[in-house]
Amino acid sequence: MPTLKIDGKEITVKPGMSVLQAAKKLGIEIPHYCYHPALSIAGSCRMCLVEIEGHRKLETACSTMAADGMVVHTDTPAVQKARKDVLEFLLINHPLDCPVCDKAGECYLQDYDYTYGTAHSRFRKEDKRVRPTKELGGNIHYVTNRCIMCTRCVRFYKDVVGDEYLFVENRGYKSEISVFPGKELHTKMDGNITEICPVGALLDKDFIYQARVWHLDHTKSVCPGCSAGCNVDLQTQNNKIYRTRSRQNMEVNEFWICDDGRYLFHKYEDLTRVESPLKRAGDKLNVTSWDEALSIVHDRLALIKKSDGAKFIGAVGSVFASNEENYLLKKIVKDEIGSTNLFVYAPVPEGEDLSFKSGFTIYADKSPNRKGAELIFGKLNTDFWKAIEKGDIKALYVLNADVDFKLTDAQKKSLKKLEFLAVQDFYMSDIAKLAHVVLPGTYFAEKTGTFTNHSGRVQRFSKALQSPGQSKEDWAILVELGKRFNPDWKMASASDVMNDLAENEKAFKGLSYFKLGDQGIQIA
Amino acid sequence: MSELYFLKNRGNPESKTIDFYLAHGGYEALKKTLKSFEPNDVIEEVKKSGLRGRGGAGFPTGLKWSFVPQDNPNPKYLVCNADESEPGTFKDRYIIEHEPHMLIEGMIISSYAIRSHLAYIYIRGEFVQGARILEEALAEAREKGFLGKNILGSGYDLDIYVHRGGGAYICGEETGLLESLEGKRGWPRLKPPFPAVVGLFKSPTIINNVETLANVPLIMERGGDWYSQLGPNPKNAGIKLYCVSGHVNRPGLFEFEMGMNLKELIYEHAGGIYKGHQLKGVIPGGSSTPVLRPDEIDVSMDYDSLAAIGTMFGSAGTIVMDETTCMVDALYNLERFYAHESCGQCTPCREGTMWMVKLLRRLEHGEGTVEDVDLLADIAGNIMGRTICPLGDAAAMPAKSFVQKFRDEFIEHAKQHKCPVKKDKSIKVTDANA
Amino acid sequence: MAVEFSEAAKQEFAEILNHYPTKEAAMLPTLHLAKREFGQISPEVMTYISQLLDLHVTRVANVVSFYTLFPREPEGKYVIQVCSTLSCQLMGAETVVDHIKKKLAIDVGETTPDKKFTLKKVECLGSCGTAPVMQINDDYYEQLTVEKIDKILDSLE
Repeated sequence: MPTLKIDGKEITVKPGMSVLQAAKKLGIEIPHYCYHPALSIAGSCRMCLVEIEGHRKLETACSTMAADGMVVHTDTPAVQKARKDVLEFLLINHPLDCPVCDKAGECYLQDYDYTYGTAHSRFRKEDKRVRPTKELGGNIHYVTNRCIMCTRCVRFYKDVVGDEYLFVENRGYKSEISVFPGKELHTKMDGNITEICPVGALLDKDFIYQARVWHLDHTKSVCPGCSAGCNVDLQTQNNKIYRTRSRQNMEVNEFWICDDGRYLFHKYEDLTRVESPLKRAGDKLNVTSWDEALSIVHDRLALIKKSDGAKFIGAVGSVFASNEENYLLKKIVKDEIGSTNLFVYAPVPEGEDLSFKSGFTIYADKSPNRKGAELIFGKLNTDFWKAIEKGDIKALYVLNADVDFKLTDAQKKSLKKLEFLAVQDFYMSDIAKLAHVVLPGTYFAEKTGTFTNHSGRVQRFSKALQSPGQSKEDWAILVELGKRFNPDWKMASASDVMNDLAENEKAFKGLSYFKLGDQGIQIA
Repeated sequence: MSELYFLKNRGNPESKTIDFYLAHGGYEALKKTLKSFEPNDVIEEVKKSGLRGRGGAGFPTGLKWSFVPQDNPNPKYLVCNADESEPGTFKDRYIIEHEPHMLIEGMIISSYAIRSHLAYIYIRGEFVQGARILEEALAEAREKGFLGKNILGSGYDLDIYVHRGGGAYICGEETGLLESLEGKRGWPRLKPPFPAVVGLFKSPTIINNVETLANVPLIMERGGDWYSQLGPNPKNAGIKLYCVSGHVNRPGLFEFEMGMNLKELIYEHAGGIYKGHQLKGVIPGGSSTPVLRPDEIDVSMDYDSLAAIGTMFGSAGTIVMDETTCMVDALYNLERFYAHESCGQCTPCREGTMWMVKLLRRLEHGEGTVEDVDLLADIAGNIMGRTICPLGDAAAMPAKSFVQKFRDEFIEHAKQHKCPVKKDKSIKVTDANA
Repeated sequence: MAVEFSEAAKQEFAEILNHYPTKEAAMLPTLHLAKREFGQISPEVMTYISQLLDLHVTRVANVVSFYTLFPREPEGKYVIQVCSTLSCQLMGAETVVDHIKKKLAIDVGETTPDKKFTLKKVECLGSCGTAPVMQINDDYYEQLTVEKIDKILDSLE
């Protein structure tokens, strides 16, 4: 275990750790462009040069391994000058078009130049290198003139994706990033390069000219696009999501998200939202109040329980619903109504998992919370259709959160056999259209909760947006309904629901939102 | 050494054939080596000889060989660097085209020393003729049992293949060469690890220049002690090919012991300055070595003497410039070369070389200022020592030295807003060298 | 247009593979072979080579665009490369280029309309002692004079 000294502070690190990583552990930031913790070392930007006692020249901190007895200085006049000089070289041909550049505000060229550079240019009379902007395929727009040739993007495809779509074309001063004609980018990982590009060279066309990044609010969330549970940062302004970016979690998605997840938020934008509680009048669904809607649900279920027995009441949880929501549904149906007819909407995954070289995987299971549903409901009983057909169920309460929920004609016919159907959903889904009462819920960005990913990691997502009209967070709807059956229910927040869940469900024992933190906890 | 070694057969078209080579004592050193030397003894003999790398860096050859870890289970490789591209240098091409067996014999002995069974000759792509000659010579050597399995009954196996480059100066840099040999672009690698430990195909690899390897048969034939006596001192030992180009009456290749006086080389052996012109400057060891003024050339051409006056022996590629040479234009030409050959991998070299070109273009065209002269030297300083490979330094050293040694001429360009030198652009081929 | 090596080239390629422990290392020799076969390394040729070497085509494109000897577009039958680095420049390389430009009525980087000659200025050819120098296809021509250039160019069919 080498022990070295960086800027006077001593640290012992694992063998094979670089000076840059060791410094980071000490809280010393060594500026860098080409280095990225998930990529192979290039050592080419020369921004991380540091002074090491006994070495003739400055060394790149990213590629120099920490050694026992090493004495490193990261802020000497020689280091400061080297940084200034590298920045000067990087900026001579840079268009300095920050006012129209999407990267402004999160650009390392901008940030480092403010911190380490000089305000004026000595590249006065020369013409700058000018090259046309290129489309690299998919949503990727390459502003060649802004590129600093750090090659992070090239190494991303080589090291993480495992399919080398990008390459450096030409050499020297004429080097640029290219795709091969006819082999444009079309992997599901492309958007990541817009995140790791340290400058404004690689841009996401989905976001281009949409917003200034410093206006965006950030909300820590979890992607509901598959069972991977990638940690994401929802970036919003004026109650609208502008982009989804990856949020680092070395146990789950490392630094990446797939493009399915990145652009998933658009899918919700296209749906017709249910903005008020609805009640059926013949063929029509009419707007009603929350109070009336919940009363109808409570009263109809209570009536059927009384006339036919609790077992004629069924409920359908969902692998798309949060742990809290499924738990509350179970609590109402099992504890308050006394029925054991708990079903789960859990479509069978189609296709296969898609794994990349780094191990990053897009799961075929497109639901975010199958594991959580299994832990709460036990073995998933998905066949409520048979029970309806046989007349074993007369009233059904359905939680849905699947944007792709579709009903066949036969299923629609089955559902019409029910005496009462209540649907809690955030959009006018096929099943909501058939309901007697529709309770308007919300989608993941509009509420708080937790999902349990494929590996059994419970992770928290937080509310980023206000939901439309009178719609409510689903846990709150269920708590309201629960109170109709049992006024002793005291839960007032999603956090309270988690505490209750942690008390009553073995698998979740001891969990709380505080304990889950930003990165979640492995429970299975 | 009074008789010639490399150039002894100059003008004889037969010299490249194995029959001629054998008839004049060729492959005797190999026979002697395989018969009486263990690999480590060969390394010791070469260490004793004091031979230093003839490619430019001057690293002791035997010491380099001793860095090969023999406990490494991977195969070991010997690579001959025949990517001769340093402006002013044209010595390896002569050996390749006229004495290929000298190189091959040297490579077999050297491979044996480092226990390599596969060696490559990385030859610059433009040397098509040289590659052909080497292929033929290798076929002859194979035919005679000097290559292949169980060479001369010794139990030692070796194959050598010729690998043509694709046109890139940077592939003369050891690790750029290895990348290129592995089928990639010639982007130099970060060091450490050094090639002797992790080189070609991630295995221990020794890379030696053509001239270096071609010295090895001589050392094995006459002994390291004998060889170390040649030249001014044991640290600068042996024989050397000197290249002289530019404004002299008899440009070309010369062979002497190490330590030839630069002034004597130019004025006596190369016939003096073209048409009796005045000498203006000399680049002693290939284009990247700092330039000398006429008053500095009374110097021994060896590693340490040239280093002592602030320049380098390099590849002994001496470029002579007379009074008709504009030093701004000459530097502009060299920096254009380095910008063209910069691999583009690291920032200071990629951006800095082209910036220097732009400044020089402006100065030469009368659009520069006095500040630009200092800026030029400053940029060169900002490249120096900050790059992955030595190309950055190679581009920076001429700029720094030209501005330092010929500052007045640079300033005059700025002050007069034009080039003040009466340049002679005519073709200068005289009967003497035609 | 599907590109494919001739039978002879296929045999040569098979032999090249024997020289290296990895297929990728055969890249440069294969590119030289392809240039001889096809005259250029077009995107189609790069794709073909990527299949021969089991590599992503971008590896081939990355290499091709790095080196100077693999033209991505067709060139003239004779490619004249005049060395213009320092030693050759000192000995009159600019005059050599000017003479050839005038003689062939093309500029540097251009090809004559009959596709016979392409003229290029190149960096050091490593023949500084016999400057000025040019290379036409595989061959070096040294110690050039105007008369010599005329004779050489006129002799090319």
